[in-house]
Amino acid sequence: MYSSRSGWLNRTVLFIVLACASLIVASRFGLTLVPPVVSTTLYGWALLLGAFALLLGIANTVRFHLVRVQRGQREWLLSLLLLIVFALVLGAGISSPEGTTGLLSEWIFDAVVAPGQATLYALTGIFLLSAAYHFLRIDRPGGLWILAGAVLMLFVQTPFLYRIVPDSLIDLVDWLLSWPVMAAMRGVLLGSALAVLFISLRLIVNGTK
Amino acid sequence: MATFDCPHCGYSNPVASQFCLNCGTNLVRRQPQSAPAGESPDEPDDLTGGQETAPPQPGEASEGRQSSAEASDPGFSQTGSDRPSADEDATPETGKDKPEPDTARPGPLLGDLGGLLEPADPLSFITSGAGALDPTRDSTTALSGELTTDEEERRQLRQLFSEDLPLPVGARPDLTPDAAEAAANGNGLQRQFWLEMLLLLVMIGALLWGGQPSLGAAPHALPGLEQVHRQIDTLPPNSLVLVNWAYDPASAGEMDLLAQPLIEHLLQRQAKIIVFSQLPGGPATARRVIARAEESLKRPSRTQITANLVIEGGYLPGGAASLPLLGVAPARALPVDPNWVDLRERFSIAALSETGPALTLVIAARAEDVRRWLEQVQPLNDGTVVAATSAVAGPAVRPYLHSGQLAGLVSGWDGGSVYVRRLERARNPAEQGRSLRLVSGQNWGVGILIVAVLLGNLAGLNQRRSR
Repeated sequence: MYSSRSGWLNRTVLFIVLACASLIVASRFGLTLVPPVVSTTLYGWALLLGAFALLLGIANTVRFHLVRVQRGQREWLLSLLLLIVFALVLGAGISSPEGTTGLLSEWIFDAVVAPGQATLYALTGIFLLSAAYHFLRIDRPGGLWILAGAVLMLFVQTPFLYRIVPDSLIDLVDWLLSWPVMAAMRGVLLGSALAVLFISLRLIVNGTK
Repeated sequence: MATFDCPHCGYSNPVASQFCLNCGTNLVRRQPQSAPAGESPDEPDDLTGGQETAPPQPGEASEGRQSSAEASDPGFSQTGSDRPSADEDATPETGKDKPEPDTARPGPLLGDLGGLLEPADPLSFITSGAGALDPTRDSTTALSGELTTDEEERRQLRQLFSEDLPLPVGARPDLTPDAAEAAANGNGLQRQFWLEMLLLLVMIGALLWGGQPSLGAAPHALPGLEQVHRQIDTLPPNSLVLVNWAYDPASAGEMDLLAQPLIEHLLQRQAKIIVFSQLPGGPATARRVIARAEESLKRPSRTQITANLVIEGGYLPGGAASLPLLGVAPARALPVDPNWVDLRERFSIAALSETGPALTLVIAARAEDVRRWLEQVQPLNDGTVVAATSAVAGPAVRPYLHSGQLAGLVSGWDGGSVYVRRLERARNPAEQGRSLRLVSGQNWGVGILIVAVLLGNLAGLNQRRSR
């Protein structure tokens, strides 16, 4: 990827990023040399940037699909559908004085958004089942342990099964969650935090040497 | 914008284009490379024939690589359109038409550290091959399909995610009749007719008998629930409670069972609830659950209750980056709708900035949202935080409960069911029945999943052994 920016501009951007990062880090460590208003202002800017990025994302999506429709690219009809729905929802929000709490917006949420999202999420169960058929096999190496763990967790998370499952099994799962699983989760948390830190540093300094 | 003429049709393409936008010719291997020192003066420096040259990438191709590209690509020989003119040929030594020296080009942000905005190649972080870690590796070559990383490492990576031994790249799998049939018709287990029929019957049974309240009995709650109940129960009236609504309709089937009893309890305690969400669908989801909670408590009317006890903070964009503002200046962060808030509530939010919330409740379907709050906000306002999470997020959040950063935790719909039982006296019968039906439906769903996983495994095991 080529950059058309000058080296001077790049260095200026880098300086601003480093300055902001240093101020935030210093304020989080409680160093008194950073006035609280500075870090608060920076946090406020982050919020503004987030909102602006959202608008940019919407504009970019609309532009992308407009171009697809204009050029008649593959599946342009779906892009057209997206644009129509976008215009309708936007119109529903703008046309009502109540905004997102207006009657039409609320109806769209109740009749389209909520059932649509819930349906898509419910398909996760099917994907889970399919993945279980593929990977949770008893005859795979270690498969029995993985399968037993998965079924055990499902058992103890299902209230009506407490009538079937003995208390000792529930106590066993409680112990598993409180000790070995928690130890593993702490390791995962620490390890992932360190990994993110080092990968971030590596990306920043391009440490591929 | 810098452009590059296609050597095949002459169309002006942006320099970053990999293929000609007009004729589709591969431009990556034809883009001009910077002339290395000591190159033969007979070889023209500017292959574009006067067009603006592309700025080089860090670690751009060396002389040897360019030569190999020329040797490997018969079409690399200069055509009439891109061969320099006689005038250009006559003055190569003056450097007049040469590309600018490296120091004048837009270089990396830091000289020795490389470009901050350098595109990252994930494969270079998970492979240790010399090719992947070579700083002089030409990324354009990788883009053009010439693999520079060790094929053996790629195969090992694939092996981690594949069931069978990996095949060499380019080799075709040996499809036996059975394997070909399975590949054509899907996995063998999914073609078990009796299994599909059984699952269908169980699903129909769940729809027919799933509403029986008797099945939603004896739920089990993990540690942490008692602390949540105690934290809310000891709140004095008019306490400010900040609620981070971190789920939307996608996971509402499970999360509503958790959120509603907690909101009911807060309303019972006459707490002032300030609700916000970082999900676009969060505020609308919160409105509905709060309305149901108020209905369940038989409050007079929603408008009155909302004006008195619930302030809608709305949608907070920016993800984790905007969360710290909630810790240091919540009144600036919460986009409260002026129509909902009178002067008294504005004063309350101002008080939130001064004293902080008496309690923060994070209702999250993902562990990530709880973790973000505990890392980005809680250290800044030192507030008490309790969480209600989905069952899958529970184990990931539980270490924070044991470390004391989290004052209480309710997870899973069984946790929600236990919490509901503590509120039975205040709930109306219709809401009790609805809650039990939801729990019963969830039970049936998980029951079907357990049966399907077990039967499917047994059937698959039996099928594979019989072959």
